[in-house]
Amino acid sequence: MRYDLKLALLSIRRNPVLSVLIIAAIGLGIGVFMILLTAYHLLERNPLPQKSEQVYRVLVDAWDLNGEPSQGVWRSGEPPYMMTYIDAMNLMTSDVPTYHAAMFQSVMYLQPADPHPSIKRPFRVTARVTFSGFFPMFDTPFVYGGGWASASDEGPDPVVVISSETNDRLFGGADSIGNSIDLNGTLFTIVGVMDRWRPTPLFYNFMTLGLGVSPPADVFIPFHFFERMQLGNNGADMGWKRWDPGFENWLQSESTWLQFWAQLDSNEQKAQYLDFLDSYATEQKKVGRFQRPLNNRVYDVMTWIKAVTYPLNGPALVFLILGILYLFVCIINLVGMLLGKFLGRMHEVSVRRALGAPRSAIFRQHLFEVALLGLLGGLLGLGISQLVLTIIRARFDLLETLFSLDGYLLGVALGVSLLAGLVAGLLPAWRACSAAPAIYLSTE
Amino acid sequence: MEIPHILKSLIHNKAAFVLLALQVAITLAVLVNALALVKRSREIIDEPNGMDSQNIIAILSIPFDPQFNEESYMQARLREDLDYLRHIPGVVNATTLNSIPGDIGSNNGIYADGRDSNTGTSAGTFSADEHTFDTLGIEIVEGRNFLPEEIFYSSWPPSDETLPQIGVITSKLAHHLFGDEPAVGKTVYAVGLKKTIIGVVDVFRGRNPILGDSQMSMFFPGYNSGKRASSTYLVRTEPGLVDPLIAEIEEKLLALNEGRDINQINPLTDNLANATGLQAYGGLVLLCISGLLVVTTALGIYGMASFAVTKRIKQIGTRRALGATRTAIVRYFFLENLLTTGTGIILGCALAIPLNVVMSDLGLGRADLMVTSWGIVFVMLVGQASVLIPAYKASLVSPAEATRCL
Repeated sequence: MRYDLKLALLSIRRNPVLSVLIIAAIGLGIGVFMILLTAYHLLERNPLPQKSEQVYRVLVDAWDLNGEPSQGVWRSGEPPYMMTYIDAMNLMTSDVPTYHAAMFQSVMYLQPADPHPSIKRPFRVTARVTFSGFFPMFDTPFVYGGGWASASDEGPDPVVVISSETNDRLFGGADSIGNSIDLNGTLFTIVGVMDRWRPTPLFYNFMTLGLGVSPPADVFIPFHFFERMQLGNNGADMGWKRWDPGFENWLQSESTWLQFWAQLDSNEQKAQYLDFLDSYATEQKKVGRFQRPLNNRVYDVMTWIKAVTYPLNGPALVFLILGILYLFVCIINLVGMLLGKFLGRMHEVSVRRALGAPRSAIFRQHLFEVALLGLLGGLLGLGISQLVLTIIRARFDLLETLFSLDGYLLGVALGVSLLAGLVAGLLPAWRACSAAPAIYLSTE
Repeated sequence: MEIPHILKSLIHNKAAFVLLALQVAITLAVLVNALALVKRSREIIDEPNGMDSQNIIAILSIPFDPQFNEESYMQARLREDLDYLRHIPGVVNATTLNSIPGDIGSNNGIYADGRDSNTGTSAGTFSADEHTFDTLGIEIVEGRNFLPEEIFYSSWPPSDETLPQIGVITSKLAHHLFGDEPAVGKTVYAVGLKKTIIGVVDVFRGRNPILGDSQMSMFFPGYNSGKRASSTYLVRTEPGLVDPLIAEIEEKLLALNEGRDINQINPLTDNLANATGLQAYGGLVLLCISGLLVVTTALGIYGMASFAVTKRIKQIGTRRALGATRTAIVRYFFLENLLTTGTGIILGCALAIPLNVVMSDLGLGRADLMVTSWGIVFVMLVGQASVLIPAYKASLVSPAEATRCL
């Protein structure tokens, strides 16, 4: 084994140009493959691994009898993907779920309450307007304080949870609990500072595009401020029924624009909640609001992500196939280079054979060498892919977790490069050990 | 006359031949598909959008001052901004819409007669005033423009029954709804109300393609001024004044009213480019991959040919000694490469077809004869170029090598 390693290192050093070319060939192949695999893997990432099977997106079918919400990623037969204000507020009265929260995203302007050394003008922040259940349901991490108490869902206290980035910007990362910030002219008291939280993809905020690559909100405020401050919805809004102009009319309209999530810990709880949804829908049918057949659903996190990202599966798969084809070309190329490399030193092999080394020893020696080259190439490939992905992330201002390397990707990269080296080396190694030594010795 | 010999030698070196041909095949298949995708995305980007987009500035103003909750205050500010924008020297016209063309804006079902019919389609929907079409630079080909007295302040969507129930549609939408019949004077159902078509405009590619056909849009009269609604302005300038005016306008608008943020002010072409960005990036990724493939394959061909030359020094020497000219030696290697790449190209065409079927199913572009021919010619040339140096080296082999023992 050690002798094999010594021979391999010797051989790599003896022909540095060829060795570098070989490592570069594997490296490029693995690099390109890894970049495309990472993009593909993105669609399978679990943003809430510890409880993705207990957290559910809630959908009730409040749509028009004669039409379908045919926009974005919505698929025929499904309830609308968002919820009306009326339904969301009614569902919030249920005591079945462990936690639940209706939510939407708004754009607000933040101004420090006290004079700030560098921030003179109000700056734009994304606000998630939601209920206290949001924080425990999604296991959001906190540096200081925590989510607001459920009593604050009723008002009147203006409380706010801010992201760690907002806290860094305003307070230099210090404990800011109890301080105030001005949001659209109203003073809010900070009760919690979130730790860095990067659910990827941002599952709870999927809109028409399907791929949540933005960070969570900058500030989180209780839902009732939406009515009090008449905040606008900075997300999709789909409706089928006309309503008269005005904020109040919009609230009472059949427009769907809210996201609704609930935590259901057991199958019984889930069954109980589905029963609740069905009896709610039946009741709404009686009063003439719901018209379609009962079609209420709860989707756990991964089911929900799959439901809204399916249009990306095709393109991602095409690119993955291209990555595999490129890797294949690199392997083919490698076979050629290794053939050249090994046949070029048949003389040395022949001497070993003549001195009594069995064919298996020669074969092993060569395979060992290609395995080593493969691993070196794999490391280079990982480096290349990380470099390119970092550039892409910086260029498009994407989440740092978006293309992050995890154990799975690392394992695949090294495994595939080792395999690529071995597959490519098989034929050349076989040629090297099966040639008759006499030919190469006699020509000298 | 050399071809039979080359074939014999290729058959003798099966492994090298098959490997190179496969490599060329994959390279060609991916290259052709990449070219098809790039061509498709270029077509989408280069399609005339109907607007004078080179000379339009897009502005998004978001209010945060609580005063904007008063509708009268909001409306006064909107009027103030528009007045200012329309009177800047060098500005042709200015307007306000509910969303910037190219952005993901509003989308509604438009039905020719009754909701249940099959005549409906979804279309991009925009609010507009009497300045909108002139600002965009789109032509009214049928009917008339909105009149100042038809423009009211309203929230979005335009579902207020007390407002004029009229609209202007794009010619593509008109054709979809009414075929070749004139659309002006017909009624459509939109946002739950019956609206009369008063005008038809020429090409306007303002709807984001993610929402559907970018040429299908409808305009409703009105200033979008719901409570604390953000305002979107478009300013058409005289040619070449977009960049110099942007900084000036931003500063002036902020000075005019400090209770809002100029969240966005940029050439309209930025918004339109973002709308087609996805396709463009897909094409770029594919081009990079095929570029790498071509380089890798060229290196592979070069490596194999160099190896072949080294292995055959004695043979080449013998041929030279027997009277073969240098040109003949060079020709041999070029011909050998031509046969290998040729086989690869045939395989590659076969491989490109299933790959392209998948791609065109996804709407990523069809490979046509033109694109395929360019791909073939390119791969052919790359193959020949890759054997240039090895073939030249081979031609330098002295006839004396024949006598030497290797």
